[in-house]
Amino acid sequence: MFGTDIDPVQRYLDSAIIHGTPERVLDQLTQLREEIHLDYLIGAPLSHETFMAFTDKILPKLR
Amino acid sequence: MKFGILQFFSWPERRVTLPTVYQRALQRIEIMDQTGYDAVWLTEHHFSDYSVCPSIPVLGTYAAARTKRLHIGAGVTLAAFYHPLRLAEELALLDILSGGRVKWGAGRGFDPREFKAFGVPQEESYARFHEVVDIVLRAWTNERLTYKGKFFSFEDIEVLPKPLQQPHPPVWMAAGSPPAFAWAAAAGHSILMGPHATHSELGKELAFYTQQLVAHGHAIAGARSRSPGFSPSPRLNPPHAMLPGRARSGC
Repeated sequence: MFGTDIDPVQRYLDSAIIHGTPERVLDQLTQLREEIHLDYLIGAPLSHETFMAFTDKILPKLR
Repeated sequence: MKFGILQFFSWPERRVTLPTVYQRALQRIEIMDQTGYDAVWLTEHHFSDYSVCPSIPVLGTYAAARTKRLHIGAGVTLAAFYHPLRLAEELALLDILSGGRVKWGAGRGFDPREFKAFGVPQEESYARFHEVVDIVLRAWTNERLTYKGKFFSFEDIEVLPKPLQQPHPPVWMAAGSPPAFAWAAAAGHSILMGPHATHSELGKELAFYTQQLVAHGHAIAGARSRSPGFSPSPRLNPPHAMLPGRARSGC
């Protein structure tokens, strides 16, 4: 699945996972919505803390 | 943009009791209901502490009873392990008890332990998955069912109850390859894509799926879905934290 010379962890961080500060996550989601017309997202939060951070700081700005 | 949460029931190092795992998940589901999420997507797995939820209909019914508007998504039922008539019955019952809030996601499974324990040859998973999906949809949309398949055959069966949503709940298929995208698109199903795609790959896959939907005459409204993990701090998400997908219009 992954190229032998590519660290899969780094690949996830760089190209697959949306992560970072609320502002950065908001920017990434906005970009995905505009570039590939993303308008439904199913997230799998790492913890209750990250779930609540998304719920309180990001969800209201994207709905 | 709509949002859902993929709700795992992980039991890492078995640090707390399983009732506590479920209690915390249900508390989170109640928050989803009150804060504007579209759906909770319940995962199904067996025989490990990776995620301990062997029955989406059971947990989904409890979640539905504690919420008012949140959709109850199956993310996903491992269709290859089911008798399709029992699956059709239980999901239809959940749809009625939830007031028509079911979104049915289905996949063929991937864990060899599950295939071995259930006595299902893994090499049959794709064919069984397709046949079970076909039978469930026919059971929901026909008064009586007569079916002759590779794995299941029935003669003049009345499958009850029928779902509250007519003709049936929105259908989302797990898909991770061009043939799977094409199969789902041809049938007009929404898709839940594999967890490893980069954003660039995701865009290409969604474009292909959209092209296939249009080619088969299905309506689209630009609805797309994706399931990245998210974190307000730059921490690493586990591999299961992503499940890209795409919804058809109205799903």
